Amino acid sequence: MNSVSEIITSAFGIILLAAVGYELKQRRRRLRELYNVLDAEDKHVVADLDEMVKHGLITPYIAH
Amino acid sequence: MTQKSPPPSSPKTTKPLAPNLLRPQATTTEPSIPEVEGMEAPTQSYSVKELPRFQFFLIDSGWIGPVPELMRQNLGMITHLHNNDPFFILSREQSSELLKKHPHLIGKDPILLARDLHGSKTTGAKEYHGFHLNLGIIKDPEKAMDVLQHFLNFLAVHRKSRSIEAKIRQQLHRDGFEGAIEVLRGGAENLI
Repeated sequence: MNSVSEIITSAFGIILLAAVGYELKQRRRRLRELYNVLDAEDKHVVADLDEMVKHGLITPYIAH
Repeated sequence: MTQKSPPPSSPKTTKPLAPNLLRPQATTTEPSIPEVEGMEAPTQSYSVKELPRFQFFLIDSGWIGPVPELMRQNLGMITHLHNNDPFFILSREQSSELLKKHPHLIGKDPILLARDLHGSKTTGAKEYHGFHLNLGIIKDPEKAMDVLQHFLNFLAVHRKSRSIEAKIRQQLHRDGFEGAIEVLRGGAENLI
């Protein structure tokens, strides 16, 4: 009987830990989606922005 | 969602920056504090004063919604806080073209992209350095305002930091064990 309850307790413990780990991963993913450092995909975006600046298509904004 | 007429992009512009302002500038003095591997360099060791640290780009294709409106309404404030750094605002058409070319950005704008002009200098790498804030993925304007203010505060506080990308990972992404505890304590929504 004792061993059965230990197994159940362990199983719940593992499930709880897995749930916490999953939640942590989701929340961190959400943070990364919101703000992140420039990655390989963004490199091409920045290159395009550089081109726009270089050709004078965009100029610095001046607040009034 | 629909699109509306062009946002007031670049209502007042000046002549384009001189090319030398658009590239990382060489500093006259090298950081004097020796680096220890695995240890974060002190913030004040980076001796850049007058030169711009970042180049900001606002990509806004013109979505109608409270969050894009919020961004447009606070544009003056945002640029004022970072007035040493060139701030480029793409028009609705330019933003749309960029999103078409890079579809992974669709639905994430308005995007505030901060390019770190000194990133390559500190790491030695030649890739682009910087970070972006994808405000478009937030639907609640109050939350978006909090995130925007937090982001601008972060950049202003750490603008002289040599390893701002590491700080982003540590403080904004909540990496590491301490970060994990904080994420679990407060929840991602409150943290940002």
